[in-house]
Amino acid sequence: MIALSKRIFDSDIEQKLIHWYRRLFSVHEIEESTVLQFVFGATLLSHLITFSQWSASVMTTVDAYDRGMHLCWPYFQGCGRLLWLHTLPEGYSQPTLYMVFFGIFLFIAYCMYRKDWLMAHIALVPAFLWHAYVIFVLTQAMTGNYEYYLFVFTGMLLFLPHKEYFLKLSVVSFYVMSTMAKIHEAWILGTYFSALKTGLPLFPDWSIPILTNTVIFMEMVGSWFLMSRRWQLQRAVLSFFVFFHLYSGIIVGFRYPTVVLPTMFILFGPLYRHTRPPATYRSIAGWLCIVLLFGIQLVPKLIPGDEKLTLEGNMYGLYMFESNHQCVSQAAVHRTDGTTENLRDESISARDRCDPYSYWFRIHTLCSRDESIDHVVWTFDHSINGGPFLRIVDVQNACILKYHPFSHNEWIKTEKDAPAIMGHPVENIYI
Amino acid sequence: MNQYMDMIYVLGGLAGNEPTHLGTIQFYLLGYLPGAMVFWWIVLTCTLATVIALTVRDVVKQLR
Repeated sequence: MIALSKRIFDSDIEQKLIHWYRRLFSVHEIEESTVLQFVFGATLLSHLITFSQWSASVMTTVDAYDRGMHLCWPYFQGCGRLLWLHTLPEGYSQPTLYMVFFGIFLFIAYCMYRKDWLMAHIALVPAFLWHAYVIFVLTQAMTGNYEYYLFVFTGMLLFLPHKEYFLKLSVVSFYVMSTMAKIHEAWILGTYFSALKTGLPLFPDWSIPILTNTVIFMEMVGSWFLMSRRWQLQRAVLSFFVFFHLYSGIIVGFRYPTVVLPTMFILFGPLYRHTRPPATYRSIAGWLCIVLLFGIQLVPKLIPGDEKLTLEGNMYGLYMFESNHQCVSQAAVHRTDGTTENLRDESISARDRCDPYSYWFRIHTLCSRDESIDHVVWTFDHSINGGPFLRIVDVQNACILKYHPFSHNEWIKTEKDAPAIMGHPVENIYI
Repeated sequence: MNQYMDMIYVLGGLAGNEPTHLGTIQFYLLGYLPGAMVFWWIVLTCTLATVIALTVRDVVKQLR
């Protein structure tokens, strides 16, 4: 059977380009490795699940922009200009785009069936680029930890040499990096879960701090033994993480386990073999990527204040389940004609991030579009992990505030500013 | 106002009360929280240092 890539790219120039592409992105590694071929399949599944959720989302459409609902990253606050898609009932350009991707995914599956890994590789690149464009440029609203996992796994699989080793290292690194967000009351005391009405699923309340500290230990230290030569130790750690992901799915749902668990099981399960760290010039790109990941995780630590309270820099690193949030935003919109409109927004679930930035962004959008607004008096009360509601924002005119993406914003009070206590929450809910 | 609002937001009259969401073990651990945080940062630093040292050793062995 002649490979599709040879049929489609049949001229000499095209064949030279294909040869260069294959070498540049080490496609031969995928062609020669059953593990990487399975990971390729898992990556395809992750993209399918991700895009199936995104296809109906309004947050990447111009409709969201028109309604002032869009949410840009702090480092690119003008993302609204790039939104052009419509979704139903306003239009169908976005569902059409995602059905094109669905067709590409079917084509990739066909290429995989024919073992034409070069063509499958080429066909997956547009999905990778679109995914990256959406989560890092187009909107902040759809960015979750699992998007970082998918972005890094796919990037390493598609573009880096020594794919198997760096995929393994990135899985372990993600576990370790997640503990940098967990060194906090939420996980050391376990108040994330004890502040929930439903507690920690399946386990009694008294066991919460024991279990949360066990998770910290296993992610911080135990996860390295996923790459061990010692078979029994490696399998014991693998079993722990398989259980961990199945268990956490009770709360977080299918999406996160779908992105992480298949890839982890392929890399560290029955097909596991110890891989030595690569020591070639071509491995430098992989090493730099790992260093970069840890560096980005440190960004919120470099901004003064408890990132769980101020949320400044929080989304640059892994942050899943690092704090249980409750918040109330109250804005009084004063117009030039003397009238006042009160806007009140409240969190409804522990998984709401309660990021002052996202509330500020909406007020800022409102101010910039409505010339009849004179000023907006704004307060923001935030409780983390069942602690008191702290008034971390209390300003007379939110319209003139600016948000700095990589440094502390003085109008957000940290715990050191002794913000006023406005009350205590009762148990939070997770929906 | 959402349906959960009355449930989650208890106004300032309760300010100063002891937190009610902590179990016995958690209340005990609360006194050691700063030390526990330092402990975990030390564990993290030592783990990363060990891993980096072992990896560098392996890489150097291969280069020889």
